[in-house]
Amino acid sequence: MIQVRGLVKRFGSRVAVDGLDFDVEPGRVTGFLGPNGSGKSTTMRCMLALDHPQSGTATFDGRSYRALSKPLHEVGSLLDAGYVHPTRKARLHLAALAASNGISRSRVDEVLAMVGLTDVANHRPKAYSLGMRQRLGLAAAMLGDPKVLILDEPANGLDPEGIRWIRDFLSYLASQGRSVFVSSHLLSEMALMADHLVVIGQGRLIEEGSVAGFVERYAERWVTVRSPEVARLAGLVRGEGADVSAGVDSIEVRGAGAAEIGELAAKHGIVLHELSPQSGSLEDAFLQLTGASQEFRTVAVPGALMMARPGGPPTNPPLPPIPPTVPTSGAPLPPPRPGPDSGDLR
Amino acid sequence: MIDAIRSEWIKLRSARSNVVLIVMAIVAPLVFSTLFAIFAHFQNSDSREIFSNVVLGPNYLCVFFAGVIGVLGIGQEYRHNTIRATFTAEPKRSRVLTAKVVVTVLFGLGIGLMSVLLDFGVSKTILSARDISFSLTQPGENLTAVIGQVVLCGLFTLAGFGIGAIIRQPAGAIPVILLWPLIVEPLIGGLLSLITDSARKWLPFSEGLRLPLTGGDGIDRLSRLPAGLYFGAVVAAIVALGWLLVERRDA
Repeated sequence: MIQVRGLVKRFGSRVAVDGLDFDVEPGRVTGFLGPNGSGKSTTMRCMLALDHPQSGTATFDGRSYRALSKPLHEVGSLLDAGYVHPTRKARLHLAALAASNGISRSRVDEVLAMVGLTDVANHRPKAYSLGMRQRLGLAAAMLGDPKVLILDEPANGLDPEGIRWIRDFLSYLASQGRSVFVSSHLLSEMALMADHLVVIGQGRLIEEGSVAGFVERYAERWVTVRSPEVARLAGLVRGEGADVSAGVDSIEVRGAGAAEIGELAAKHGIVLHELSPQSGSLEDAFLQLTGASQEFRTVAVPGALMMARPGGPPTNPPLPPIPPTVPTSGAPLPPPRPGPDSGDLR
Repeated sequence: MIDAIRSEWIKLRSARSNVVLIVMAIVAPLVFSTLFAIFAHFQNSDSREIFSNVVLGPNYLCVFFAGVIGVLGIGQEYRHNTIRATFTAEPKRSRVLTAKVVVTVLFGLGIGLMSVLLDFGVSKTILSARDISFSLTQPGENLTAVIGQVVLCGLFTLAGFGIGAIIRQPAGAIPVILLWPLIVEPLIGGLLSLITDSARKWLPFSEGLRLPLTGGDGIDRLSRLPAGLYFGAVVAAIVALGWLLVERRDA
């Protein structure tokens, strides 16, 4: 188990990690999320005693990394696939690392086979693609068959088959009771891979908890409704105080549940073709949560259809409004509630 | 510690740039030694002069290559960021540095000895064909100079290692290990000689480079043993500073 307590790392006057506390439990994949420059890599380097934190501790089953006598047997790490001498053959790169921890040459061949690099083991990494270097880094991390893995963007540069492989591989390792701590910008992959999340922004812990709970709390939720009388239903739903954005033959309702909408439709004899609760992705939740912590922000590209908005969830192209309708109930339409993305009825 | 030394040994011999430098450190002096043995006139020279010109002179090339190998021993680790892999495999940095120093010094001493003996063997064979004889052990000063040459190789490798640890990038450290002894110290010595000749003997690399010299110690210069000890102390100080910085800085 990894425990990080009160970790502080400053570079001059800039605070990279600011009093970080979190745990990485065995038996699950813990995702480490944060915007660019949020301190993820610095945190990992501090955990591995590569950077000297000003204060705080990172312990592995109660011991600091420096206290581990043969650390590759206990903690495997991959911080950057580029940490390899370009002209040192892959097998010798691993052999040098293995020798430092008393690991046999046969284990080098095993991990090379594990990551699919046996055929190119005697090639020099300068001829490797980024994906192959990533695999070499994973092989190095697995040399000592460690019970803890710390991986910084392990899927970076991998092709789809490789991404799937790393996902399955890490899940498999976690299922064996190992602690797997992994950062990634591929949030869709993280959603599939991680059981638990540690989210940081500007060096501070923003959120720690399960992936499902994270999405539940921070991702937007809405109900998609499809009906031959969609315009009429939109008016009724809005009359109940919900926000409605309209598509061609469907509406998206925020602020009302599927049951509520279904009952309203039934009460007014409106046929429904679809009534489906929807939830935003991990990416939506991540952007919603870390929007205020983005250090490097994008600017809108003229004409771009899809832009991540700092400070808010990503938006789909705005849906065109549907024409206003007269509510059949005769009740006056309340003024539309302001909503983040509602193409309100007018 | 043995594991750390084994790891450093694998690293040293497995990077292509190191292999190229090792070959150059052996071959370059050998080429010049061979050319001297073939073409130089030694009719009126004694064994000491011949040995000095044919073997010791060309072997200064080996000394400087050894210095560059020392720089790369740690500088390449920082240049390619493999120092992070190294320190995650062995987080006790003093253990890594000790292993590097042991491997680097032994390597410097080894190539120094190999180069001198190879050059001696080849030039002896060539000069024997020209009916010119000289000896490794006669006069005894030749053997002392050989020991000085080998020690100088070791110290230069160590100095390169220390400078590499301080500067961390070979592109910056290699010019220092080459240009400081060859250009900067002679310039400083020239300036100092305008004031006093006795100050020149405290230029450490200049004194160190006199370790393989045969013949007189010269006026106002340290004799061989004090010169070697003084240069060794300066090299130790350079390594100590590099060691301290590696321990304290983020990897």
